[in-house]
Amino acid sequence: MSFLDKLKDFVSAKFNINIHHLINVNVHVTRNDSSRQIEYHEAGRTLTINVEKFTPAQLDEFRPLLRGAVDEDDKIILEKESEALLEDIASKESAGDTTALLHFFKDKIPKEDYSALRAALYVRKSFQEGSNSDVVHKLRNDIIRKYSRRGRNISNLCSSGYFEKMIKPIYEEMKRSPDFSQEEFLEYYNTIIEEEAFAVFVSGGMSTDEVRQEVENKIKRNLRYGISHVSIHGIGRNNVDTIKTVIYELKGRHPMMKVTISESDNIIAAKLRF
Amino acid sequence: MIIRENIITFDSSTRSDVLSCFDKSIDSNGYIVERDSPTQKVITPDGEDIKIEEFAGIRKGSEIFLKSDLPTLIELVDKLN
Repeated sequence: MSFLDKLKDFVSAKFNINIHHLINVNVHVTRNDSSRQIEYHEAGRTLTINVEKFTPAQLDEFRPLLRGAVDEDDKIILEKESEALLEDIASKESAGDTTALLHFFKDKIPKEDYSALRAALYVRKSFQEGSNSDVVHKLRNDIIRKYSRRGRNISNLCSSGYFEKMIKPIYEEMKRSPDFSQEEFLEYYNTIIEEEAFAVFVSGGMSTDEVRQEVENKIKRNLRYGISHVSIHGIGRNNVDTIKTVIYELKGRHPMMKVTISESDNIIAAKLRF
Repeated sequence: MIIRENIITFDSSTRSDVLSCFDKSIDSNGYIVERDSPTQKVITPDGEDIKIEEFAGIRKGSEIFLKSDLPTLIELVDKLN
């Protein structure tokens, strides 16, 4: 006997409410002074149970029924606000751009990172759609609590669009090489994730002045907090050339600066040490 | 698409009622504990204690207690799809 059949019998026996077809119904448990013990809305397919109005004996009979819904009927009992969030996650993930990006990265990045990316995309979309800043802050903290520093970095990179503008193109560029290996991509990818806070990511459309300004700002900030290096990442011929120009200029101003450049297939990663 | 018939919802005001169905109670610090063994805190599959205000629900798998955080609910989307 299913949970809904048992519930139908319970409602009939205890409250003399006969419901003929209790199928595909949303069951909701509440506690308030205003509604009746049982309210069934056939059109909206909802059955609301107000335990505030139950006698102790009725409660004693209802408890095992609810427990059985989980233990025997595989139902999930979920607080209403979390259900709303669940629906919103499913809705936002089904948007074309999000689905495409998640499809691209599934099985290309570590499983935990993929989960963090899903969460970060949800936070980004919530922010873009004007969610309250406290809500966005709370969601972002959820990511950091679960995925630690790596989750924070993924969230930062995601919110700046670097999974689309940088990491995906890097994968596609590396994939063109006959010597491509997933391990090689992951090594590069890990560097990007790990160094997020110390790095400048150069993407299409940034002028030499903009890149220089961003690198100098990052150098100043890093030095203020005792970090003596800055990384620069870029993809595409123009970006690679821009980065090299900026490094050349910086080298002129900071002769003691040590530069390590790794470049292949129009992808550049430079590390500047002071 | 989420299959909503698999979900029974509850108001935050009935958290204690729902927990009592599963023989759980709340200790003096606000953590969910076993009613018969109040020093034993209930934990999520990640091993985290759960405070009453974080409690989002329960699903099968022995008894899997759900927190109302984003990663937990993203995992739940996969279970329901």
